[in-house]
Amino acid sequence: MLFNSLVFLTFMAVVIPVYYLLKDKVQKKWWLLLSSYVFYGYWDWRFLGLLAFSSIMDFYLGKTIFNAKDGKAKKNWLKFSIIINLTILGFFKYFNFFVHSFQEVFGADLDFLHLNIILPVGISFYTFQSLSYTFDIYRGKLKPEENMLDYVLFVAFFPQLVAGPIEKAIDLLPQVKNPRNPNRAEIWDGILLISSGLVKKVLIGDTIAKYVDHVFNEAGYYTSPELLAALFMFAIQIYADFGGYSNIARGCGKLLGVDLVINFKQPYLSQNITDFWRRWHISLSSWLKDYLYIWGLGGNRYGRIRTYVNLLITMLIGGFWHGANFTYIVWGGLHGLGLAVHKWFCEVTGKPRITHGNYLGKFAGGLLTFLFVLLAWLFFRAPDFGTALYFLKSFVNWKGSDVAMDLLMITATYYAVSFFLDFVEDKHGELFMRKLNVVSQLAVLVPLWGVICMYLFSIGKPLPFIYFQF
Amino acid sequence: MNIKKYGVGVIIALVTLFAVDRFLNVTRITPPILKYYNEEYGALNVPNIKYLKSREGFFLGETNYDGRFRENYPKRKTDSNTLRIILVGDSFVEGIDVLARNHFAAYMERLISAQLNRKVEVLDFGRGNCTLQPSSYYYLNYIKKEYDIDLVLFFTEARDLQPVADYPSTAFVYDSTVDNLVVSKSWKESQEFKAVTKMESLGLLGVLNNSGLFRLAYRARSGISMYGFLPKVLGKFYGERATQTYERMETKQELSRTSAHIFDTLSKQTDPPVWFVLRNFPLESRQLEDFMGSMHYNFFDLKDTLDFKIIRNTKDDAYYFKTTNLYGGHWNHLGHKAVGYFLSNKLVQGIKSGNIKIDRLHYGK
Repeated sequence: MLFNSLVFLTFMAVVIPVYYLLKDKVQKKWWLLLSSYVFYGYWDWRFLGLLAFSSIMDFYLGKTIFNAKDGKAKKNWLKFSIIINLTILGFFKYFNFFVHSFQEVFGADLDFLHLNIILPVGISFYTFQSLSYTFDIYRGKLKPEENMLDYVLFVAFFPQLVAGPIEKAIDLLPQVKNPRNPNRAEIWDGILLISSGLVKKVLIGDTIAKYVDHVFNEAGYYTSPELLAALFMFAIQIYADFGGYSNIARGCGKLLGVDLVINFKQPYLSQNITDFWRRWHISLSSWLKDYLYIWGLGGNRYGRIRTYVNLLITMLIGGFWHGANFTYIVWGGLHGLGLAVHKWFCEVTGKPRITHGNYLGKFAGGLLTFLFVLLAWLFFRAPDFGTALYFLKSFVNWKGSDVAMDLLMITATYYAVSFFLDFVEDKHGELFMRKLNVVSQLAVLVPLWGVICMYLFSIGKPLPFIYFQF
Repeated sequence: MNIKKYGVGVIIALVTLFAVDRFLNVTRITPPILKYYNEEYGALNVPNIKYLKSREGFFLGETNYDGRFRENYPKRKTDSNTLRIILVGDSFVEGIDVLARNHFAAYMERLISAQLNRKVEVLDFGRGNCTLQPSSYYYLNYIKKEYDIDLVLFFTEARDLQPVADYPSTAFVYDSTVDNLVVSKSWKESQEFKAVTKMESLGLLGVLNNSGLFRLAYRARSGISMYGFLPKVLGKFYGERATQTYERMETKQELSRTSAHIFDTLSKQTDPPVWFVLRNFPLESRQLEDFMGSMHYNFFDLKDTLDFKIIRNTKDDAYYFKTTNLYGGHWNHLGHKAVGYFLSNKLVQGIKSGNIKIDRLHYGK
């Protein structure tokens, strides 16, 4: 079920009142679990079994790791957990990619091995969430959950199930263990967050996709300004799409008395690439940092060169997590390289990693960072290397377009609206609207909801979130 | 105090609506209503209107002074050596699934010009849903009279064997009492025309076309009537909707008297000559081709170029749209390119061999 659909609004109109009416905590939890499985099964009920299997397996593995006699046994059980989780993920997400890559490299005829596999929605997200649970138990930071219902609900909690934020058990489990009705302020916050998320996703992300998708899919028929506009628009599309999703997820959480982590903090106002990764997809970057960069690879404990290599490896894996395509690996590699270079630069010049310079310096840093991020987005969005290179070549061999002025106007409008929304949502991810009185808030919300509903009625099918494919 | 609070609220609501309206307008999220009604011809495209279409394919541009989606060519040629070709037809000819420069008319201009070594202008008069009856009336009574023309390509397909009068425009119909074509303005009885007239009388038509919000409301209403309210709100819980798939169709219909008369009238045009272009869907029966052949009408059959590009599952299909991943009803980039090359080659061969007779190149009247 998509957040940006009328069906989801109907779903919420049923789930929330019943949740509020149930007095018993266990009943509340069962209701949330049932709702979450209906939400997930709406796409394809066949994958409910996979979700349940993955949750129950990690529930028992968590206990087994905790109760293991010695460090070696704990480690073996942890390895087992990693292998099982990554095998499931790898099979659904990467099997065909590996077969294809093997074919390309060795020229072997392995067509018979290609499987017609459907990627279960959100598998990357809930696999990482489950892994964080066993990791934290192994590291002694968490005790295993005793109640299976609580654990299964932690994994399946529908607001964050399919595209994050990737919650750590230490944050979310205590909240789902003790379900409660939210207070009035939380309900209002939830409505504001859902509203701002829908505006971003429906009015910006979905509408801008009309242009971006066509151009990226058939780049060869478009000229330099059209390709450049598509690239600039994609930067806004993915932010509105994913940022909007995260807001809706947080808003739904608030309506259920659960606080989900903030996933975005004005990322395009970052002053350098390190700053960017503290503001973009925060739950993923903190997962990668905690479990892979620091714990798995040793962070900066083994000298300068190793630190740079660790950064690169972390981001390469982060890129590969996004999808089974070399373009994602290049995207991750570019960011890893950017982070390593920035770290080196800071160490050599002695400058702090987050600049506090004058406005001109901040502006220059922000612009440079944005352009770098934009270049990396090209590889992220391009369906293949050929398309990405075609874009770059066309920027060098510039050829005009008769619709360039139209595109400039449209792109500039989307940027103006997106940056306006970013300012409305401050750097802590909080909404400016909270400062207005209720009448003024309603004066903004009612027309916006009217427009969103009209848009959803006017289209055939709502567009899925970009990150659902990951 | 309360009055002030609510007053501020009303102002904020109005500002919000105004801002959203401008946003929808500038970004062209809700395209304007394309049609307006002319007393003589019925529905026509609104001239000089910015338009963005993004469904099967993508189009960004605007209509010209005459409501066409192409260049602003003057009605009279400015150069006696220019060869001017007119395209008449429906949405395939209108071709707003690709940018203007990727339309087959643009290919034709470039290719024919290069091969004949003269300036070539290809004016596209296609209009979505405007089938044989209204198209032929509009051509004979407006385009032919108003424009300098050297050659006409009239696009038609098997469904034209039977009149389809769902486009609200003045059209020919066959009248058995006089055994000939007569002019029908039945569009004046249509619900749409009545609704538009009513809106116009209330001064709402301009508002509708200039306001992104009003257009969105209009499209929401259309969406509800098309998909239904409950299926939209309840989704799969209401019941699984049948997946919309594009199937090659096979029409087997009798040739209507109206169509037969229109084809006959057009085929007899010599100044300028009219050549039919058959743009049937693949797998369509060959009724129309057989009919044209038996009547010795001049025609080109696009089947010759498009059918080899319909290999499903290879994506090498003139009707396949990558973004929607659907085999849509129109031509994609590849289709336009194929049609452009095919028609250019046929025309150049025909003109060089004298098979296509262009008696004189019009230059003024």
